[in-house]
Amino acid sequence: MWFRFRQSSLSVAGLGIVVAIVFCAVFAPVLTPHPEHAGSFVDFENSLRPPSPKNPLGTDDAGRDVLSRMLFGARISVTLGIIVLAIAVAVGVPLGLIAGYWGGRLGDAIMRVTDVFLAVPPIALALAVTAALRPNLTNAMIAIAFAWWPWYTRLVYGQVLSLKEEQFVEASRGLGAGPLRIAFREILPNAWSTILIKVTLDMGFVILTASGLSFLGLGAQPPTAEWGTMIAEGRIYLPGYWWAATFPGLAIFMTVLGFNLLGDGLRDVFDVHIEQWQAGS
Amino acid sequence: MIPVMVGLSILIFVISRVMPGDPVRLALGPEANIEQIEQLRRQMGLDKPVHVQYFSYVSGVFRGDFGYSLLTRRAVARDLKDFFPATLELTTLAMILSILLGVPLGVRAAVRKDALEDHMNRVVALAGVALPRFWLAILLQIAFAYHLGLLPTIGRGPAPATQITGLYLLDSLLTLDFNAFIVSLKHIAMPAFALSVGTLAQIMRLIRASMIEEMRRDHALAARSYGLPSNLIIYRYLLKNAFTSTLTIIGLSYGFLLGNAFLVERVFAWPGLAFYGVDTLLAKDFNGVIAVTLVVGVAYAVINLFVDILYGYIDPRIRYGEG
Amino acid sequence: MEPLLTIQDLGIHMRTYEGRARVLNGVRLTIHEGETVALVGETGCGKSITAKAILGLLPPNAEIVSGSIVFKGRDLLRLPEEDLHGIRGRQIAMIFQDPSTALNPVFTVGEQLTDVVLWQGARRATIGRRVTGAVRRRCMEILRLVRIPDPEGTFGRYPVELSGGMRQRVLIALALVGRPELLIADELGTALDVSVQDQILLEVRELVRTGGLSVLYITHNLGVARLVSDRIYVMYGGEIAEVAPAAEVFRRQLHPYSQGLLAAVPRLTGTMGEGIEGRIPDYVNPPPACRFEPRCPFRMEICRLRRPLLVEAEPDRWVACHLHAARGDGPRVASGSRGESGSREESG
Repeated sequence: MWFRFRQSSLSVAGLGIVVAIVFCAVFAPVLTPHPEHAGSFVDFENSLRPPSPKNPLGTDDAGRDVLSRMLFGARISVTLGIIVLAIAVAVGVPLGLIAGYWGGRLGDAIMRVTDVFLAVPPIALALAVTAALRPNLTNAMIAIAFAWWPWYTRLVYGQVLSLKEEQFVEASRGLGAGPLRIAFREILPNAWSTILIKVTLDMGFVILTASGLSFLGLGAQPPTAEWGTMIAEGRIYLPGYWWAATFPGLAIFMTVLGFNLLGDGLRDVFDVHIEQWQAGS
Repeated sequence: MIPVMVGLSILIFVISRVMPGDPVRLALGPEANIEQIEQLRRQMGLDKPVHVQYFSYVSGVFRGDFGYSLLTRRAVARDLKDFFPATLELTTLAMILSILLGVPLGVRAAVRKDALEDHMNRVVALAGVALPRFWLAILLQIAFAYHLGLLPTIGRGPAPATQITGLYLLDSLLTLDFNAFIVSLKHIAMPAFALSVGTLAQIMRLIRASMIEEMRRDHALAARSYGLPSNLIIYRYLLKNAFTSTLTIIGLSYGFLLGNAFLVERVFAWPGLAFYGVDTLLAKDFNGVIAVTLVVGVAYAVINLFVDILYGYIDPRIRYGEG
Repeated sequence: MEPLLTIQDLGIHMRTYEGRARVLNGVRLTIHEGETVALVGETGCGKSITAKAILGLLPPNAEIVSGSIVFKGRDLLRLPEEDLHGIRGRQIAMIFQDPSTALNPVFTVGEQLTDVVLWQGARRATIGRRVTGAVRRRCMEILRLVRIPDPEGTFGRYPVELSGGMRQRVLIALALVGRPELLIADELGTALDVSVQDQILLEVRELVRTGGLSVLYITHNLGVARLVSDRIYVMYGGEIAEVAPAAEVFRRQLHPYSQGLLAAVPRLTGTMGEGIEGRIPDYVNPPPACRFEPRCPFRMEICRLRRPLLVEAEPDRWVACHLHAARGDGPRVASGSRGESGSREESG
């Protein structure tokens, strides 16, 4: 399987990007030249300096090193992505399994609720939820998870429906296995590859959505070094002092690209068609 | 669809009413005294229990009354009327742009499969999906507005002299006011493009994949065997078949366009529903929030319904059932 | 007289995931004017590829490694695409196998038919052309010719609304509307009920007779071949195994494979028919000499060492098998200059 993956240079590039970003995220405190800049730090003398050997990506309006902040931003984004998707999967997948396998009135009810959530574009829903709560990063995560879980329910539901009729399930049932056992031992292992692909692709889109929310002021608040917030802060100083707003955007772009390439590569390897289930655009 | 809408409205309503903090107090400012707050609260019916509020709200909606906006100090319905056409125009134009550019590029990539053009197509598509829409918007602003001075930085521009639909482009065309049309076009160009990029990329890839699949089919081979010219086969026969799968994506994409409009409108200060929506969110103006979300949800549902109908019209197999 | 179509030593390889598949290996075939020839063989023997090669409709991973296909004095394999384009539909036309997939589902019968009438052979289609009265008349004419009971109604219908038999007739109409001289019928009627298939076959035979057409019938069914053709080519593993007049093949078969084919045909009298043991050859690593050898009940030592060439073992009967030497003294191999003889040529 690794061999097939390796055949696509783009997929390998994607993997490389993802690894690099995760690396930055994990080792941010060690990697950054100025770790203290990640929070609230002020040095107005060095405010808005263009890229230089001392500050490879320049400084922002408070004199903070953009590069350091970006590395910490990676940490925030990656953590955010993992948490959000963990919640979405933890909620959405079991619901999908139940709705698909047991069906009946419970299943219908679950899918009906899922439809309600899916009736609104995820960003709009996340916005609405964030507004209901105080705007900060944690609430943004909750909001996005709130908007994202139905996609997993729908995905798993579809998978269960198609796998339910497969022979090995029949065989298992014939042997007397209970529904819980079948759901988790037979069906889930076959569906997990699809889920994995979607999670990989979603990582990028969740980070994109989160940075969008932060940009609007509804997510991470200053002085947190989140990429979206950094763009919002640096935006005022365009076009003259372009570096503060441009580089974080580039970071978002590369991250999403990396996860997309990786996800595409995984999809080729597992040979699955899930174009309809992608959330994000 | 109806139960979905009902569920949605309940959901949104509940969310908005459980907002912490006191929106009324926020709206009136720190100077307000208790009496004024209570008065406004009574006026808005906030002293009644939640389910009563819900029903009075819903019945209000059917009468066209969306409540009172704390932010703009007027009826939300008026706000909607002012802001909705702007967003409609923006998202529709972005959708049209995605299709007009995405389809031909996708076809070309399919026809020239594995050639350089195809590989470039793939790279562009990947980039298009990954680009943060608001970042792209900012970059476009810098490039075209600041540096090149070609296009206006923000805003929608002046309305054409006579307004019929509220869609500036359409109105100016209908009244043959070409100057106004050009001005509006200049204003809408960047926002629409920034918004369209992701969907464009998706359509491009989907058309390419569908076309490649269609080219393998028997009837494509048969058409060639009759001596039909290739441009007829590709652009009439195959494209029609390939387009149907794109149609479903178009419906889905409209939702994402609406969602991303929140960001793009912000960057360009485009006076649309999304812009209004964010302001109401920040100000905790819940009537505004509910209204915006409802409108977005309904618009999304209507579009999807429209897509379903169109699908049935194009593909006779749906109409007649498989023969 | 020169034959209408001569296929000479055709070799085609396909690049597949498993490797290079040698799907056609020195195929030869002749069709004379007004003659109906059947190419018979089981699924996967290469008959469809032969047909597609004639019209230049091979898939992109196919490679022509040898041979020629001469049609009215021109080698189709060496013609530029524009010339081939001019021949398709108007001189050589093909009736595809499955009526449910060979028609575009989202266009009406009329639209597809008028497109062929308007644009057949054109380099590019333009927006301008309109459907004139003459065009419509021609469409009705051809629909009536293929015995469609309600031409006006069918004209406006989608393929999904028609029965299998009607769709097949539409396919025939599409092939015949350009007035071709050579018709290639790929498994005509196999997707239909047997009774409908019989009817279609008889109708087509009549059309062929009145139109003076030459036909290449592709089929896996010897019975069908017998019904419609003058001469039969038996094909196996990408090679021609036996050639004979239609009636002769049924009376007596020279090649062991042909014998097996005949035995496999279910009889009305009750015997189900026996299959031939074994499977079609692996085209990526085919047997080095005779490709039928692994399955042949009469195989000899030489069959694994030397490839049997197609020789004229009896008057008008050709076979590629070591069991049969050529008539007369020593083997007379079918050479390029003579071609095989049909029932017309002097065979000395």
